[in-house]
Amino acid sequence: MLAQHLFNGLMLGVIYALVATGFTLFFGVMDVIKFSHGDVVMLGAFTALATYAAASGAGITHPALLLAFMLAAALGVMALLGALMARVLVLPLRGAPAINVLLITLMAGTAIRESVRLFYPQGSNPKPFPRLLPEGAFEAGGFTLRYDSLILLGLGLAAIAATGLLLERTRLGLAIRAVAQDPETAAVMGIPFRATVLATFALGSALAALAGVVNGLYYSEVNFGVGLLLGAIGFSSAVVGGLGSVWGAVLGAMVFAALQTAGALVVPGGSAYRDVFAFGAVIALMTWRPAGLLAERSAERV
Amino acid sequence: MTHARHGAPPVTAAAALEVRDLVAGYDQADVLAGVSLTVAPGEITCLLGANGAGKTTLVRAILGLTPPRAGEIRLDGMRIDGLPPHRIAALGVGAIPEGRRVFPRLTVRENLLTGAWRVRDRAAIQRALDAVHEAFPRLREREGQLAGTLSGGEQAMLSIGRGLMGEPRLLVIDEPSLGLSPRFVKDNFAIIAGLRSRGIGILLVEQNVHQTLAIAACGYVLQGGRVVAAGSSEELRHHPALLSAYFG
Ligand SMILES: Nc1ncnc2c1ncn2[C@@H]1O[C@H](COP(=O)(O)OP(=O)(O)OP(=O)(O)O)[C@@H](O)[C@H]1O
Ligand SMILES: [Mg+2]
Repeated sequence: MLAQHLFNGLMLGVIYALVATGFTLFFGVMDVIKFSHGDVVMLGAFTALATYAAASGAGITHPALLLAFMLAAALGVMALLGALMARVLVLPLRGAPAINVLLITLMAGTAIRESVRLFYPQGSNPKPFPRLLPEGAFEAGGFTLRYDSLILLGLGLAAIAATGLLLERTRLGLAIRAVAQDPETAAVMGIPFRATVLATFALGSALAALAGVVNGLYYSEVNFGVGLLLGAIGFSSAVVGGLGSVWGAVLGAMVFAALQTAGALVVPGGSAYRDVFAFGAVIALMTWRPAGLLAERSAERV
Repeated sequence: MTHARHGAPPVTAAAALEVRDLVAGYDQADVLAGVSLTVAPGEITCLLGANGAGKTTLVRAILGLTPPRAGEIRLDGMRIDGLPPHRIAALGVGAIPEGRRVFPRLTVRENLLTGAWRVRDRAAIQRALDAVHEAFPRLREREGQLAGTLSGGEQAMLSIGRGLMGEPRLLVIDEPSLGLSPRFVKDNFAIIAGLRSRGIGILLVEQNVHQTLAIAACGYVLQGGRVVAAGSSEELRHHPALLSAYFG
C-alpha cells in the first residue's frame, strides 16, 4: 500500500520536475517568470495528439513508432515555440520591469489555451490520450506496478538526468550557467547572450512538452486547461527549490508530489483535497523559508 | 551594423588597438568626451587616472559592453565599435574585467574554460590550460573548487588566467590589483610584465602609478573623460598632469 503511494508520488514528482526545470532555467538566464510555461506543457500534449492523429491516419500502427513521432513533434515544435517566445516576448523586454514579462507571458499563455480550446477539433472537451505503452503489470501483495507507468517514470528520470548532464558536462551547459551567473562577463568571454537565451528557452520548452506527453500517457487523457494546474505546480516547485538550480527544482517537485500524496492519504475525504493540502503546505513552507529550501546565495544561479 | 564601415582599410597597421575620438557614456550623460589612444603589440600601454575619470567606461566601450556614441575603435585596423561583445571577444580581445568577475558557482576549471570559449581545438585549449597552471600552480590545486569560495588573491589569479585562456591578441586589464595585499600586487605586476613577451597588445588600467609605469612602455592619463597627458612612461613619470589628475 505504502509502496503504491510512493510510486505514484514519484511519478507525479517526475512530471512536476520536468515543468519546474523550465521555470528555473528561464529565471536563471533572464531573471523572468514565464507564465505561459504551463500552457506550453498543454500545447506539447496536443501537438503529440495531433501527430498521433496524422500518423495513424497515414497508416502507421506500430505503437513505438507512433510514440517516437509524437515525442519528436511535441519536443521539436515546443522547442521552436520556446525560442520564438524568448525572441519576441522576453528578449525585447530586457531591462523592463520583470512584472512586464510576467504579464505578457500570462497573456500569451491565455492566448495559447484559448486557441486550443477554440481551434482544436472539439478542443473544449477532454481528449482521450492514446494508450501506446505495453499493458500489463507486476502484482505483489496489493502493490500493482503497471509497465506503462514504469516506462514513463524511466523516461522522465532519464530526461532529468540528461538535462543535468547537459548543464554540467557540455559546452552549451557551461554557456547557460555562465550567462545565468553573469551575462556581461560571459559575453566578454565570447559566449553569445542571445543565442544562449534562445537555446535555454528551447530546452526548457522541450522539457515542458515531454511533461505534457508523459502526463497525457499517464492519465490517458488531456484537456486544454491542464497547463494551468501543472504550471502552478511547476512554478511552486521551482520556488520551493530556491529557483537556483535544476536539482533544487527537482527537489521542490518531489516535495510537492509528496505533499499531494500525503494529503490524499491523511486528509479525510482524500484525493479531492490533495491540491488544497499541498498548496497550503507550500504556503506554510514559504513563510518558514522565504527563499526556498535550497536558498540561493547572492547572485549565484543555475 | 554597416559592413562597409567595418571593412574599411587599416589606418595604422602597427597598432593592435586604435581608439579615435571616442564618445561614450550611460543614459543621458557622456563620460568620455572624445578619447584617442593606441596600443602597440608587444608592450604594455597603461591608462591612468583618478576614480571616476572614465577608465572603466573606455574599457567597456572597447569590449562592446557600452557601445560608443561616436568615434572609432579598430583592432588590427578593423572596426570593432558597434559589434556585440561576444563578436569582439571572438576577434581576439581578451579581458580581465574590473572587480575580477569570476563566475562564483562555476569551478576554477570551468571558469578557465569560459575564457577559451572561442577556441574550438581541444589540444589548443589543453595547452592554454597547462600554461595557466604553470603560471598559477594554485589554480591547478583548486581546479574543482567553486570560484566563489576562493580567496580574493586566488580569484585575481583566476581572472587573469581566464583572460589568457583564449590566447588573445589584445588583452584589456582593468585594475587587477584592487583589494590585494602588497605581496600579491607585486606578483601580479610580475605576471603582467611577463605577458609582454607574448607579443600581444596590452592595455592596463591601474592605480599603482609607479609600479605601472615601471612595466609600461607608454601611457595615457585620463581626467574628466579626456586624455590630459600621453607619452612614454619616462615622460609621464614627471608629467604635471599626472599629479593634478590624482590630486586635483
Ligand atoms: N553603469 C553606469 N551608469 C551610469 N553611470 C556610470 C556607470 N558606470 C560608471 N558611471 C559613471 O561614469 C563615470 C566614470 O566611471 P568609470 O567607471 O569609467 O570610472 P573609472 O575611471 O574606471 O573609476 P575607478 O578608478 O573608480 O574604477 C563615473 O562618474 C561613474 O559614476
Ligand atoms: Mg574603473
